[in-house]
Amino acid sequence: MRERGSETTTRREFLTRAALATAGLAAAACGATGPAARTTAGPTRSVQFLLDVAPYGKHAMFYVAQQQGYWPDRGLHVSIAHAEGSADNASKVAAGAADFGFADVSAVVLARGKGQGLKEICMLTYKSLVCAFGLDTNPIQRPQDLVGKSIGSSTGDTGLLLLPALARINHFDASQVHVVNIEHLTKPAALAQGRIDGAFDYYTSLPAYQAAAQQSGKRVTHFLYADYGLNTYSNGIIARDATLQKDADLARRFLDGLARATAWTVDHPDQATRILLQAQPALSFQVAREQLQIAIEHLMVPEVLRHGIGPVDAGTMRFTVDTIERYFPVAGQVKATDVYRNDLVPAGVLPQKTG
Amino acid sequence: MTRGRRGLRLAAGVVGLLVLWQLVVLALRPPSFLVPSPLSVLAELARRPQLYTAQLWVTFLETLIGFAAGCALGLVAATLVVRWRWLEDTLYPLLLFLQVVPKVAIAPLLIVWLGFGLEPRVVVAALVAFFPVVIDTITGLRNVDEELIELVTVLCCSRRQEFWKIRFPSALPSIFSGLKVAVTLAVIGAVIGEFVGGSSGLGYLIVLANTQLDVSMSFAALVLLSALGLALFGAVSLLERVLIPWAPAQATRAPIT
Repeated sequence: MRERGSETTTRREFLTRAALATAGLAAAACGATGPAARTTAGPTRSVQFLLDVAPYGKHAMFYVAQQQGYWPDRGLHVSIAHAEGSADNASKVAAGAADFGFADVSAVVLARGKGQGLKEICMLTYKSLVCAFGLDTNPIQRPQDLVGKSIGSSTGDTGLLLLPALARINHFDASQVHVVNIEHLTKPAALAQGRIDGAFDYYTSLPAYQAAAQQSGKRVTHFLYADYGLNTYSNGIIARDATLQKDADLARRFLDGLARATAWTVDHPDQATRILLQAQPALSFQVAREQLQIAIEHLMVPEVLRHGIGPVDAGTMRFTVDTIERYFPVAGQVKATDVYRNDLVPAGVLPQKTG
Repeated sequence: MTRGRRGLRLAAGVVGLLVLWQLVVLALRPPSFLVPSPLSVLAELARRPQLYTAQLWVTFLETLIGFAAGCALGLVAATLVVRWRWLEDTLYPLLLFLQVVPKVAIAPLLIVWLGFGLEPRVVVAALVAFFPVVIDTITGLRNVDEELIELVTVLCCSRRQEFWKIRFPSALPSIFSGLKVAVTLAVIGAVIGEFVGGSSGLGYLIVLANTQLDVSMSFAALVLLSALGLALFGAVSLLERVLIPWAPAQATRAPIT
């Protein structure tokens, strides 16, 4: 009996272990390559998520998270809307109009300076996208090339705000740069037409600059601020302190789905772009794919390969906040440690191809 | 002039403009990111008809609901002001405030207050449609033949009868002038709402087109917006002709705003 009992137990144990192992393997596989099985019981929770600007290639992972089931499988139905830039995004999240936003760290620092409780809870643009564009006929390839040129900039452009910092680090006179105020979306056309010699912008705008320049028989040149001493953190997920205190589990589920969707996006950029285009059919595949590639390159930095998608490094965040405090109109003092939280993102989520 | 001849002249004007536009583009060959040719705009519309139809429908709905709400509120506000003169002092500054406030500035606030759905866009459309209806309705209700009013007073008609039998029918030509201005403004209001926070509609399509420097898409959306404005204007004019066939012909012509 004992032997038989022992045999029965062994078989049961074996079956249980096999089932657990299979489930574990499936969960692990899903975690890396696809959405996990639904992990949350109970009713689906509606979440309002706000992009920084109207959707384009760099936002593909958010549509992957929704369409591929990463958020629905965690009991979340996420509605995606957009703001008009990071500052507007932060204002709307702070006002409670959205649960989570996608915004630049500077918007969080500015908001905290005004007493609004916001935090960056998952970094997605580790290498700053701020750059200056020019044309090969009068190239801009390093910071010193800005001197003596007319550079198009919109009000509040990060490139313009950080120009004094760039000048100090790279030893040139910022007052010798002739800044021309110009509407954001007209910059590529104005540059191609020769109305300006260069423009401050985000690197993800490169396809628009290239399209305009090619039609004028020219080639786009650029340099990234990040390559010349200003490698600050940029865009990530933001949320209100109140939301995080009241419902940290909601943030955990949201970020868990997003981190895994982002990893999948890095592994399958073409499919991710197609998913984006299913939701936003007005976008061009080619342009969106190029923009996504740039976003991936600015996400998959060595720091991410070490720690996974989402958490930030305390030292780099301190440098980022110090730089913002020095060159942006921050109303009050902001402690770098108050700006972010690393404990809500899942640990070590990486794309399969790099993990 | 017969209606057929007017239609012919209108069509000739539109076709003439398109031909001139195409010729200028062919002659000057500007880069497509500056000015697209009308043929490329038509090709863009033909390439993705479902996309444009879906977005046109959204903008149409926002415009229609906003216009209806703006008109209803405008008619009620105008009637109250005409009925109780003391209300004019209270309401008029408020009406002027609503008119002069730039809608682009309050649209983002409406999104914070009302969310990211259809509501804020409808409210912006209603806000811009509201004012011309109020002003033209007040003018119409006040510019009634005084002899007619005296007559109904002598005949011991009630105020309600005076309003429905005399004032309101007399004011209809003026009200319709306001409605025609309001319906075209409602299209602009809906687009403002879509610019600042929408996720659908022709205005949203223009925002997406601009981020990709896709001027053909931008112009395609603009062409549809113009067509929507013209169609709605035509619909209100038609309603006017049906409801008040006695109105002077001049009053049924489009106001140049």
